[in-house]
Amino acid sequence: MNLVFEVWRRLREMSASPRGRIVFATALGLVALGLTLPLQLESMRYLELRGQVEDVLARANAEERTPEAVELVERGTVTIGSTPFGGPPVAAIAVQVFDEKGRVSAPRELASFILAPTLPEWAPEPVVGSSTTPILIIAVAVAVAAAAGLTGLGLAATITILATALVSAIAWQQGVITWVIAAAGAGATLLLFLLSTRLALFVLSGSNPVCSIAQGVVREAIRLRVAAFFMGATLVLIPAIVVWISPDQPLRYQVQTFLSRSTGLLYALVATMTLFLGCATTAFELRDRQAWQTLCKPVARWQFLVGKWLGLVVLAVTLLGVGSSSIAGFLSYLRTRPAKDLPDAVAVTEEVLVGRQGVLPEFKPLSREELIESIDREIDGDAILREDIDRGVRKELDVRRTLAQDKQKAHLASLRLMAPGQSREYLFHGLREARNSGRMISLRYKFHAGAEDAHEVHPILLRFPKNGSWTDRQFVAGQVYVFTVPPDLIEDDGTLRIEVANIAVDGQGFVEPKWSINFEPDDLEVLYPVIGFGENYLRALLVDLSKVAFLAMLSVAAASFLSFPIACLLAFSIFAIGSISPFLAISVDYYSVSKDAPVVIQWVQIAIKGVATAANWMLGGFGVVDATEMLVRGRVIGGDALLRVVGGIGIFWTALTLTIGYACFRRKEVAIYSGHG
Amino acid sequence: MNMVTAPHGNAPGIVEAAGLVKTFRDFWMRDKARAVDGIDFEIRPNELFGLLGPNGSGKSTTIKLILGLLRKTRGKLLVLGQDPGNVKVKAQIGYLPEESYLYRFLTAHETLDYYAKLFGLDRGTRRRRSGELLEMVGLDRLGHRQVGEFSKGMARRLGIAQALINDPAFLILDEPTSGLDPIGTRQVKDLLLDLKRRGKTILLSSHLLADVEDVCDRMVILYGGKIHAQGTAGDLLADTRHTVIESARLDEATIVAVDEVIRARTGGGIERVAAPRQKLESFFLDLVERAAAKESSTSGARAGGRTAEFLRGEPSPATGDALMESLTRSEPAPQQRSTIAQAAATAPPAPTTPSLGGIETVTGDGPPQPAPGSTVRRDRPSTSGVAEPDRSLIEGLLEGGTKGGEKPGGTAS
Repeated sequence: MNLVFEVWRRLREMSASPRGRIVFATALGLVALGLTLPLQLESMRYLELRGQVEDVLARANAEERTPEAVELVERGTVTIGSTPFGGPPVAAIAVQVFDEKGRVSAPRELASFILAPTLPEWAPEPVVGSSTTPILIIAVAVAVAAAAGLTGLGLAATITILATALVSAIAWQQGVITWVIAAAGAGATLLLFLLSTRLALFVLSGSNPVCSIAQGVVREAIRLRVAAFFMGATLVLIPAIVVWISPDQPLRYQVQTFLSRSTGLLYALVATMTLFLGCATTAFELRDRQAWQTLCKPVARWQFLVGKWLGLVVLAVTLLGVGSSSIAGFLSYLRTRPAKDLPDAVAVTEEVLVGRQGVLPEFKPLSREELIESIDREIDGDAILREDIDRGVRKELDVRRTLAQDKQKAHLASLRLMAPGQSREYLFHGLREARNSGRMISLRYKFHAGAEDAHEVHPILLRFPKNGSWTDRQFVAGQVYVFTVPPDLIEDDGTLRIEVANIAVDGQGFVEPKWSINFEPDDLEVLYPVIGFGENYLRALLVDLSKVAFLAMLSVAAASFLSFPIACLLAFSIFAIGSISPFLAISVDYYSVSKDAPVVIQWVQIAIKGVATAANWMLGGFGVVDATEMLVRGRVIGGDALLRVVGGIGIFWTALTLTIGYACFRRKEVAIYSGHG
Repeated sequence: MNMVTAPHGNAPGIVEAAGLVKTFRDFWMRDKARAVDGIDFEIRPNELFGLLGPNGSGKSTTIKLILGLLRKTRGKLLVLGQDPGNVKVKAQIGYLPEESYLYRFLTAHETLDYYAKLFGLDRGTRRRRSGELLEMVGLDRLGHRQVGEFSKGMARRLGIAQALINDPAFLILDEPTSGLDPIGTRQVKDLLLDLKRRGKTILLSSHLLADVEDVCDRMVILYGGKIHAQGTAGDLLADTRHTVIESARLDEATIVAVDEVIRARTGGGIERVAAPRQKLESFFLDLVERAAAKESSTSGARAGGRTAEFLRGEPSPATGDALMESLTRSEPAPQQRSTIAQAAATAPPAPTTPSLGGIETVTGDGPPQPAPGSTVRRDRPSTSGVAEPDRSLIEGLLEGGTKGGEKPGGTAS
């Protein structure tokens, strides 16, 4: 055992020495090259073959019935040399691949489709089908491996590569390619994490107290295995999600499930780590007196707090960055899985992996005159109400205000209600950008009808007045549906008109359904892509990072004047309340004091409502923008929402918390009485 | 209570405390303990000031007040002319706490780098000073080991290194020799004297009386949060009732003759005649030195190296190079000279530390007292004597007793 430790010690020392670093960097670089070079070789083979297939397809002409076209249509194959490629799946779509002139309309795509079965599982077509991607992957792998060696991480990197190779080899032998991918991904992520921590330490190497304290936090997190634990959890759980997702589901759901679970998990882990570590590093340092040593140096109290905060934020950025790279990698892998059908493939690119802007229909409220007239009519028609006002039992202004709210609400609700046989036209404005982009837009709807029976199907008819086209569809109450709309149905001024009719169509014509249908204000919506998924993902990261930045300051500030358990309790409570604030807001609206209950219970209920209202008022902003939810639904995180979160939570809330924490910590006596008595 | 002041003219004090009170309160803001109770003292520039007292006497609280880790309840406290809470003041202070509260997860190098960055030192300076300090405290080969793996003594050494990383003008050391072996203890004392020679001001808090006695210019003795004694070591420790004569070993006849001289002149006579014993510290250090010469291996921290280059640096403006050289070479150190000069000016002289091979003779009016050394030695006592003897006094004594007999080569101080 001693020999093992001695060897380990020697290797560790060697990996840290200048000469050892060069040796490790060279060796690791060669290993990385050896592991990734097959991708390039496979790519070269594939590209050459694809070129030959494309040449054959270029000669195929259905009009002229060339031999290549006949073979393609009849057998679904293309012969290169004496080897035929393709088969029945190609034959099934062969007649659709020719354009009006009889030529193959998209020879490259068809060649890829024909050759897809010839590719090994470890070489997905999006990777080897590009001449630059494999080279890029090799370059990155070699650079990362060499960088690991040069930064003194040679030994750790070697162990990581060996462990990854071992697990991958076992999975390969068992024929479970998903596990191979998962293990390789986890290994790459670990390597990236090790390098990122070095980078984080380098970033914080400035000669000032704030950087020094921040660097201390990062070192503490790494050495005390706190960050390693959370990183370990990320490393294990994100690949586990990939393994867990069934490839039999529609690809859209696979991608959505992975995005939802992985980004949600990553945020939860980073937030939890930040809160825990922030409380621990500050409270324990004050308790164990290391803070004395720091604070008797020329370090202002605010610098101490900001230093701790900066360390936590850099650590969070590292974890979020590494975790996101892992997510991006596995997402790329998921996208190589086959879609169930064409709408499924389109949904992935047009509804999930995209940043879409949503537009709600215009609901015209009652005008002031209409409202006054309606209220007057109501008061005049209600003798009791009139009498109450005249006798001063109720104030007329209060009555009118209440009636105005009720009537406006009822009017708007009526605009979202369609009796059997009734139809309404809805106008969606501001879609000029969508029209100009030429990309398909989506109509999302969720209707309620009857008793909300999940087994009952209701009819509906959608009509587009611009060209008079219509489509009859069916829905289950309470479920979300998406209908793809061509952009040319949008008017020149950017308005889309859609008529929704509560009408069924059968063989004999239009039929009046049994139930009325209605919907919530945001359950009829038009969505159109405005940015790509990558940019939207970066915005989501910024949102999460802003929240984590606030949580970091919250935990540090709380622990600067509270003990570890109390600080944890406070910080986690604020995090929990902030996260559930959207649900809390709804609950507060619905929560009412029971007038029949005993007075004590009423007081308790009033207190509960008061606390919930106050908590929601203070922390409501925290949960308003749910980055994960928006990513999963392919919603763009708009500039205003981003500004609200980054500026509001990331900057203003953080600064406010720092100010409060500093006010408490500035007057705190960090030393304690250590004498008798 | 009188202000304890050093004989340094009107130079502003490094620390000025007047009527300083620190009361600790409980959660309900009721007084729990008065740790410091109206103390007055002043620490002057280039002074090695001792804070003595038993556990719980208020030493650490006083230091924490000086460092701004606690806030005073009442009174005046200025550090380098500023409020102790002033961050800029702390740039000139080095602090070694009672326990080395270091980060267990950092290596020795990282620890020094961490503290150096708190002072805004650039990368090159940090690297150079860290290396020199680790060599100085004997941890240069353990620079990449985490502090959590260090023994208490090794952590203490590192604590000392961190306290010096900013080359402080004012060094505060709380029990600096706690946990150190005799070699480390001796090195710390030597270091303190070196630093003082460079013009540093040092506040030394300890309950190890020998530490304070060996190196401090002035001291206060605290008990129950109050100052109970104050002054220089000479003032506080001088035994004015006895005279000690140290010489090479004397035969009985000579002793009798000396006794007769004393009786004839003072009527008192010799009270005690003893052969001095070597100090255990000296014996131990000799032993280790011999073992080191034979290159016996040791694990952990090595004996510290020479004082870090940046700490040796340029001498203080008050002293020239030549003077520094002469002070380094000769024994005793500068402050010892003044003490000795003072002792010589007063009769009888203060007793001295016994030396190897000599004989200690105590004369006086009262019963024999332990002989505390009021002088400060930089090196271990040697058999050849340490200071230039007052020849006339000795010769006078011997002439009176032996009437031109054998002339012993003894020393006295």
